Amino acid sequence: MDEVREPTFLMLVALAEGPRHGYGLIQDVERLSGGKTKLRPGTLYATLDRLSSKGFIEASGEEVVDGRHRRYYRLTSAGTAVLESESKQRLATAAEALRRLGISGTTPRRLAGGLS
Amino acid sequence: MTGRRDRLDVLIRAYPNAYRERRGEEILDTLRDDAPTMGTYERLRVGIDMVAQGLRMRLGIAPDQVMGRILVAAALPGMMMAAAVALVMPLFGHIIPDFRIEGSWGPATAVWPGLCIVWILGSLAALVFPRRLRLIAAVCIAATVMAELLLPAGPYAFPSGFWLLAWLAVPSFLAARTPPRWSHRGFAVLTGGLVLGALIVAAVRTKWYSSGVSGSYGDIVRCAPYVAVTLIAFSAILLVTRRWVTGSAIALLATPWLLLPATNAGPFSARTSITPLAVAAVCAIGVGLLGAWTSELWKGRRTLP
Repeated sequence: MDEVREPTFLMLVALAEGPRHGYGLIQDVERLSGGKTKLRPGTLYATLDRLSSKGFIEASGEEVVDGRHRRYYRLTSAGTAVLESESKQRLATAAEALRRLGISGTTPRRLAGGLS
Repeated sequence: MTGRRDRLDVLIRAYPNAYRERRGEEILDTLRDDAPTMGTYERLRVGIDMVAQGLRMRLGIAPDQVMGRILVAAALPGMMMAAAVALVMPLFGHIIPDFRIEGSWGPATAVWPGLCIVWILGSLAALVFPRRLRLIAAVCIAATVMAELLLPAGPYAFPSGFWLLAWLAVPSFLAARTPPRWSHRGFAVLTGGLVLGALIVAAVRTKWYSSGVSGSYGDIVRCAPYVAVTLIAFSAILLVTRRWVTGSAIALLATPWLLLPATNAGPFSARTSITPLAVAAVCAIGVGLLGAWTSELWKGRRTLP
């Protein structure tokens, strides 16, 4: 599977909670990253197109709010599987880092297993 | 408000028509939602991002193609440089000096400006109509071959300044059609090889003297080494700061400026000014780039945006 970069991962995480429209994704990703990642609309829609073409997300509805067009996106089952796999991998790495630093007694296997 | 809306509408025009019809309003509305929180600098970056993404889409390049990103970064400045050269070369290089000093004004001197225009229009057309790339490239190449065959030898022979123009248009042509199958190994080797080849030619053919420069289109030729060194310096800084794509694109654009003085044969030509150290530095950059591209892409490493 392709490597999933941070902005893409954050977008998938944002969509895990439920369908989001473009601006909602920008806000959610910024919040999730603690303000470190700010998606720009050009990049956002390029990534949405790419995730959509890979079958990780799909459009789930449209509406017009205050005269502005909004299309919502949601995770597909394939996207959910990718997010789960990526999250486990990141969690295992983070847990191993903490273990080596002597900060946590939790094993990576237990942490990763807790997701499924 | 109307002014801002107009500016946003202009930005969205970077995208292809079909995409704009499908997604344009959605992107614009997202942009409008986000706009109130943006400062001036962020607005500028959003604008650049939109144009870059639109251009990438027009060129049919996937965002994870390293070479594609490099070519997109090189295509626009390459075309701008080519446009500037196309303007300078016929006006201040060929027509006016030849007309004023040598009295050689005539149909033959108009061929090169005409050919410049063909290449410039070809570059622009390649961006606007990427699906017609083969036809556009065929027209440019046929026009060039015909000009070379039809023109008499001597003062009308193929000017090396023209190679500069043609080479600068290359990124836009290459970027306009990146076959997906070529996007990794083959294309990396091809483009990296072209850059490296150009650098080697420049290094081998450059003679190390720096005075007595003259020539009918010497304005371009004389400034070429300085442009090259400036581009090299920028490229080196960007590569050191790990901005691979932009640094690589600038290295790609630096090559014709190196190549020009190296290929401009003749006793009064400007095969000058570039020091061996500068050429060695550029060669090192070229070798490094080629190595980085091939090793990264040979491993089959791909990344999502």
